[in-house]
Amino acid sequence: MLRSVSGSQLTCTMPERILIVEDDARLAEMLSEYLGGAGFRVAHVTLGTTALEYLGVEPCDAVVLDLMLPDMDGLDVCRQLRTKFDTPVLMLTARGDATDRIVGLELGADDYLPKPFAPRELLARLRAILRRRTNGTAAERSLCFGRLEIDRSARTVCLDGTARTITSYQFALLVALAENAGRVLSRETLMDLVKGETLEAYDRSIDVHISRIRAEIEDDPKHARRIITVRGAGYVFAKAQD
Amino acid sequence: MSHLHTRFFVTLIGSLAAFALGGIVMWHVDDGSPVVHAVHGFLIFPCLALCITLATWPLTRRLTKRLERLERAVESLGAGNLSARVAVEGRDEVARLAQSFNRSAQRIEELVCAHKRLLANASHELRTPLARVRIGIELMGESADAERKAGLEQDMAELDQLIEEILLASRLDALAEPNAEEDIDLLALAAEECARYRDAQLDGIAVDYRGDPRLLRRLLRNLLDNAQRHGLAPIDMRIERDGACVVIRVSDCGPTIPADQTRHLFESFHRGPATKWNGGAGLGLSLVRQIAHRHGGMVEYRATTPHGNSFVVTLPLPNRANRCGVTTP
Repeated sequence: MLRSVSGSQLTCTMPERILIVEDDARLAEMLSEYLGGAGFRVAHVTLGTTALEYLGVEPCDAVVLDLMLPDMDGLDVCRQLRTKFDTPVLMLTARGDATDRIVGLELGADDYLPKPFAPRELLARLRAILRRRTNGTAAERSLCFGRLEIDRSARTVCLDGTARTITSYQFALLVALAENAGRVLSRETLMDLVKGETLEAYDRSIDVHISRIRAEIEDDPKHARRIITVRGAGYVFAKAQD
Repeated sequence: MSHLHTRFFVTLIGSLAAFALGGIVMWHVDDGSPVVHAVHGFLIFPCLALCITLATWPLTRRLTKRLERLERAVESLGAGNLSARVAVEGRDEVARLAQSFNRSAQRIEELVCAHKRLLANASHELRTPLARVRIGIELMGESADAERKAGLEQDMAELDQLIEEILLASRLDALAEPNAEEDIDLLALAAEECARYRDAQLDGIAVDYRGDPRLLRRLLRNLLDNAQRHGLAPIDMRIERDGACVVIRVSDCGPTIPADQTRHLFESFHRGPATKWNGGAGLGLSLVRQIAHRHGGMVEYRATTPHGNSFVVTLPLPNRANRCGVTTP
């Protein structure tokens, strides 16, 4: 089965085409509506074999691939897709098994999202992999944590696909924290990691810079969930973010 | 000779016959002197033992080798290698035991695979509708009542957590999968989880620990969830070292749990005689115990005076379990 939904958002450039490979028709329909509303042209297929045939005749900009399909395993689809096309793949899975994620990423999937996912996170991740493709940026240069994307080469920070403004020093601090996500970094270690970056004249305190970064990237800066203060130890950048 | 006891019997008869033959030969060379009689008497039992030993040695050695192979296969299966099988040699009792082991191992492997498939399918079938609901909430747009929308999101998050806990408990119970271990900064992991709760405070020292980050995150979250649901703020989490162990302590200021209830605390689906339902399916603490055991550790409840509750998880640092004093079932 193949359905198409046109994006309602007017854009100057050609809308990007997304192929959804999902056997649950209602979920696919809702995803199509959501992504269509975000400005994408969306096609939907229910089978892995149909997806591979479809990509052969209708090139797409990205594939949203469910891992459990009726005719073949999503990992097999990903493997075959990778050998024939260079279309970015975002895997969706409901298995909740870390092995799937690891195997999927090793097979060449660009990103992975467990069900049930926040639609805004799907959108942010989809935009991130499309941007990487357009800019020719290597995936390693971009750090994605939930709805937050840090592009190290373009030196940009996006939350929900919207660019956030931080200074060069704050960007270096954020990258240092993000590259060590899941580890407590003391203020001294942080200063060492960003050594060489030009400090702003008006304030040299790490704490002040952190609070300014929080103001840009936290949903509620007063109750930080991305950059967390550990009393007497330093800061930790959360590994698991929504 | 398909039966072991027949082979033993035949071997024994053979060795006795050989001994009797030797005796007859010796009898013929007997010249009647008392010395020869004494020698015959002295040698008779060692010769008998030697004959039996020589005759039965190859048989017993072959038998014990086959039993050793079978033992290794049983141990391998018990350690989680579900494809462990043993070669069937001959048609005797040991061969039939090997066949029986192979059949049982095959059945266990099929059951575990079926269980894995069931878990994967259940996860898929339950989470896909949840994904639909979540997108549905988002598609409601700005026109929807914000409070109702937030309530739906909260309900959905609770349902998602319940599904996650049921599936995880089932997986930990049934499958002997090894932990996906990584080096973890336990203080950082605890900080991430505490940040999810407005009333939770963290204190402690940095501890590098090797364990399964997904399971340990679940352990910390369940302890905090439990304190928030059933205790009173403030909730304190402490991470500390105690000799060769790392100790995670989560305390709250809620009413102390009655002594007769504490022994059921870590049982699945135990909820206690709460006057009001505080949510949860009674799986949280049971999972905490399962995860602690998988890491070679333990969890215990301690009432604090004059009121308050404390849950203490003790995990041995790698290769130090025997110096930690942790005993797990």
